[in-house]
Amino acid sequence: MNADLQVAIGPLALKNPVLVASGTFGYGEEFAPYFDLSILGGVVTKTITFEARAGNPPPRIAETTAGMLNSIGLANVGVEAFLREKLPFLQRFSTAIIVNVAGRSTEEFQAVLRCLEESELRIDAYELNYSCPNVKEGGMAFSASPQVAHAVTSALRKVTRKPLIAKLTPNVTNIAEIARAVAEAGADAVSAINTLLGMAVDYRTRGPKLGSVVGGLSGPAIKPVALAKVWEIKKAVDIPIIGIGGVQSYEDVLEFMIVGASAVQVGTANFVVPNCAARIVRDLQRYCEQQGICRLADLVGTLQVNN
Amino acid sequence: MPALHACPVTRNEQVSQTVFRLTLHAPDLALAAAPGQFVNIRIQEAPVPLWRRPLSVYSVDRDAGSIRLLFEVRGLGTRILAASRPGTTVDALGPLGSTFSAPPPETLPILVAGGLGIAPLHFWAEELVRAGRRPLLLFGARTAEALCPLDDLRRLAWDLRLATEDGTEGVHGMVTELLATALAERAPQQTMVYACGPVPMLREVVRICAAHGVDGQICLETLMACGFGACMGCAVPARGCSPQPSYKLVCKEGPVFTFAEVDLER
Repeated sequence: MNADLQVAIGPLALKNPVLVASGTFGYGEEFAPYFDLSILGGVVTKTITFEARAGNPPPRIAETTAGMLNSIGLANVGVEAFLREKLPFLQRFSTAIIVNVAGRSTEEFQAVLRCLEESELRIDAYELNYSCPNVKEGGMAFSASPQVAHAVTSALRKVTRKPLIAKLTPNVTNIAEIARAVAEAGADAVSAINTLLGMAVDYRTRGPKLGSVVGGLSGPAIKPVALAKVWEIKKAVDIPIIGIGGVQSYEDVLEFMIVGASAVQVGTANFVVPNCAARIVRDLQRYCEQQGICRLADLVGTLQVNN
Repeated sequence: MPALHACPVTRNEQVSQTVFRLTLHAPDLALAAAPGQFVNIRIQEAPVPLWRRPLSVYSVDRDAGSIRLLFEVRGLGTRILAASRPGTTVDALGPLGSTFSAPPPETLPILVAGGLGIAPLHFWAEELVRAGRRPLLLFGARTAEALCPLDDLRRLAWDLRLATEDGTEGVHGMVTELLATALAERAPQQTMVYACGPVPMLREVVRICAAHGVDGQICLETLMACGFGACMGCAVPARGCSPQPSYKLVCKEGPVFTFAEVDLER
């Protein structure tokens, strides 16, 4: 018996709940030598802005205990080059293509979305990067206030009918409040969490390990935080949640789904084991078959909490 | 094409107090790897240490189906790797990165290594010798102890000159002084320089070569999370006319760059 791994993220149907996170999977080409990308539930591309960006000065990364800090700074080729040089490659795979977009202003967000909307290439959904801690303008500011998050999401809702997924930062006092705001503004789903603001210091030089001093913390170290944030959001909104943060095994996927995520994104683990997401899909399939789980989606939000 | 390889350890030799030479049974890597390229080693399945460790290929034995890696114990990852014994298996991703390009015919390839920068240049020297060239290898380190592994270097048919900062072996001084002397001995069009070592050394190599009108390549070492262009963490400033900064990825566009490609001054 083949277990049914299909899940729905609002109007977006996925063959399985395993996606790869923006910024950890390039534009897909980098991983094609290691596995057939069609195995994935979906690919979330590296963030696209209107103009190309070179990114932040090095050093851009630092290794931490069970995690990594980055301050890449949304380095990307810009929307035109993305459509011309990067997106065609992904068309050959039967996996959902979710384009992650960002802008310094609502207008730039809209301009990127309009360019993507005009393309005849397949794009299945957009993930709105409201939450990058590594850019001075925009970035985290878009999801730090419920009013701003609501306004931007409403403006983008007018540009497209495709599914909109708002990616939220954990670096706020009340993430559930932001989730409610984007849901009311028409977002079809939220993804949570983006990286946690962090810092690493070299005691010998007394200097920071990142050129930008602070950066985004990701990897297994942040999984407990991510689970807690997904749970908080689940209690606040009805729209689907995509869990992100330290996913590196099928067990992690199950935990996120039980807490309330309809799908997950594999991020930092892609750097360490390039075929990690494919292994997770295979392991999930095997686990469901062994356990007699016919429909994996039934697991979503089944957390048992004693009052 | 890079791939994931499960490689049994066949030998792990301590060649100095902190440097190890690891031999892996890896027939596919031995066939595919070219000088300058590296493999990215996963230390263990646990999430600490999280990243793989990029190590230059030091040598290949295609007949035996083995590769050798040279590494220094610098932290937890390399300490665990130093303890690996024959029979254990290492998860290696590779071969990754760019390679040195052949020196024009009739030129003398001058290889300039500082410390562990010897690793990719040893492989390159071996390949040059296999191709019938006789490179000049300049090797420098702080002390005689750090000039390792000299057993390999003295065995082969190349011209070897040594320098130590404390004068305990070879010339008392910097390896870049050996380079300046070597370049003064012949016309610029008769030499091609390849260098690997600490950035201050590479800066000086590029400066000396520019003063002599000599071209060449450098092999860079940086922190990497992935090793294949996805994380964009290993960016180094690129040389260019544009006032806007631009970067090159050491893992994908390097680690071997021409002098003209990267800006070591920034």
